[in-house]
Amino acid sequence: MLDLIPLTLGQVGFTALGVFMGIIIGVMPGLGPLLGMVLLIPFAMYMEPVAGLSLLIGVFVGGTFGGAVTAILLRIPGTPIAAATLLDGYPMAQQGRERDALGFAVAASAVGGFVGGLYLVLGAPILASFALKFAPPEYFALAFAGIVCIAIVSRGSTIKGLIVGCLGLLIATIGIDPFAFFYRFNMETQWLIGGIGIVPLVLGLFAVSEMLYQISAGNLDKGAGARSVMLPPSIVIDTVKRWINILRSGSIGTFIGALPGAGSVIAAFVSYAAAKSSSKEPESFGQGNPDGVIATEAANNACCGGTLIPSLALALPGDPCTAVLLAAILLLGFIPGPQLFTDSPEVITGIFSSYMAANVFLLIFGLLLVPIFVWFVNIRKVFLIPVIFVLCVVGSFGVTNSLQDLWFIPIFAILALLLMKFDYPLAPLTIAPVLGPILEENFRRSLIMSADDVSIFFTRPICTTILVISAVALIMSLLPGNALKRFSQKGTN
Amino acid sequence: MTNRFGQLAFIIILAAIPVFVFYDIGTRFAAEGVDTGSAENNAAMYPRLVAVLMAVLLAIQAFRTFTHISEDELWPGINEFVRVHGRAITAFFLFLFYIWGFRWFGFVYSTPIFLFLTQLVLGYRNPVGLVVYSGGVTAAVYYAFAKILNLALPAGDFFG
Repeated sequence: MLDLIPLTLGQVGFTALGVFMGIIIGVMPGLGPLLGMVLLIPFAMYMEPVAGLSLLIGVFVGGTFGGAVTAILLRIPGTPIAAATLLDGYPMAQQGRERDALGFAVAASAVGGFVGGLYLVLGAPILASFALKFAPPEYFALAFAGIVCIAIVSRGSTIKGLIVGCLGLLIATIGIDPFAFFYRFNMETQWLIGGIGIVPLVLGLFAVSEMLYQISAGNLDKGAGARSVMLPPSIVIDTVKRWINILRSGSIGTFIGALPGAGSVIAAFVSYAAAKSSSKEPESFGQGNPDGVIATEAANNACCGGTLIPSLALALPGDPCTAVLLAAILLLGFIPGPQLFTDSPEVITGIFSSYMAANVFLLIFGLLLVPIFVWFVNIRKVFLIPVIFVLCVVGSFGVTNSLQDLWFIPIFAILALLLMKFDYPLAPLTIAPVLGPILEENFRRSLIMSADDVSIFFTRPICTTILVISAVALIMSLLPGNALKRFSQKGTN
Repeated sequence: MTNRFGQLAFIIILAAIPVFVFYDIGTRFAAEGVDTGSAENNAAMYPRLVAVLMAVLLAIQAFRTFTHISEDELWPGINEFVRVHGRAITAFFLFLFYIWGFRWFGFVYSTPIFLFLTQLVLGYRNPVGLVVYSGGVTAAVYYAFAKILNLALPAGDFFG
């Protein structure tokens, strides 16, 4: 089993910086941890690997919590992740208990995140050691299951999710063929021979399209008007006293987070439902019950730890944030997956340690610096949007060092706006390019192993089981009344 | 344009992708001899499978669009669209010019101009604020990337 190793001072500092920046990005409506991670990848690339990953993990953890501040104070979830938090958080603020609501949210996020971290530290190495026995057919089945799960639980219909997933898989095939060393789908231009990098793709899909959407939505020259508050440190004790709720919500969040594609939104709503059904006063939920805030916040931050389990152990990203994290690991020169646990254990233990440290910093910053974060909530969009446009261009250039690749950003921004307009989900398009090469390489390796006999996928027990489960899940999602779909729709709406 | 027509038009646009995949496999791949054979040498095997799957899914979605959209909604005309999204459209074109200018005029010249014009488009009118903001943000981004990260930001092909 891997041990948690102490981080260096620099790594601790970058974790703290990441959490601080993540909360700031998370509190700004429309922005979220994904955008923060993508914008900071260029910085992470130029750092020592564990420090760079610590920065990104910090943003992931901080950004996941950040949305709760505006959800509670303004009834605007800064990120979709915080959609469930406003159900009880905002009524508490309306009753003049915004200090309590924010305090419960901060403490529950940190403690819930810690619960998710424990599962991560204990579960990921076991899963990785199991996965080391996998051969190409099993990896193919896992990547296939990842794509199917993401398509199933994404916003919109499953068919649309699968169409976008296929689009992402085809985008991933642009560039050099991994076996025949032949340039595919590059339209005979030099521009496309290296393929399409995930950073300009994600920046276009999520950052530029979101900024254009915000411009169309208006209210550019007005601040949000949130009132600043100071949080009482004693709220931590009050939160920990509700440990059953935290433990249950943290466990639900971790479990759902570990399912590819399920994500924090579903985790938060499922935990909320579980807290309500086990409460002695279920009728008080929705009217300002602190247990509602604790359940949702503990779950969505624990979900970060859960999402990291398959991402690190199997190189199977559960959501766009972990897809970006895996892309960063690749850009730093490491191959994500179970082999990373044996080849570069210092990277894995560094990620574990920084994840735990990030939750400690979340608690500290959340309790002490809320007035600063509220100040950022009130920044006018007219100042924010142009900076994000510039950071997208400079950040993408910093990672790819290519001026031509910058044109991918507006192309994918327009594609994102069209996909959103026609109610197609964006998440599969982010994850498919990460899973695509894994899927193709292992698909073809499997066929090479079996001398082009496709029965290899149906004669190996683990591979067959994964494929059958994926197929059953896919068929069930196409039937009316899909529970996971309902939860995810509720969150995104 | 109606919602149903728009959905179908978008499906046709997406269908162009598998069509392009089949076309490229049938021409370039075939010319290079990598469109058939074993998994090791067949560069077309996997993309062809995904393209077939995507084409089938698009056909299903087209059918669903015909059968599921019962109340067809009329979309606003182009004038109404431009009126509602005019600022976003202008900002998008400024962004395109920024990417173009980033190469030809470099970071130092194109960034403050882009920031200045974008803020104007977004409705900010304070002249001092515009200049200070454009210059300040450019300096801060330059410091972060060029000085801290040692990233060589483009100086501009126009200036040699």
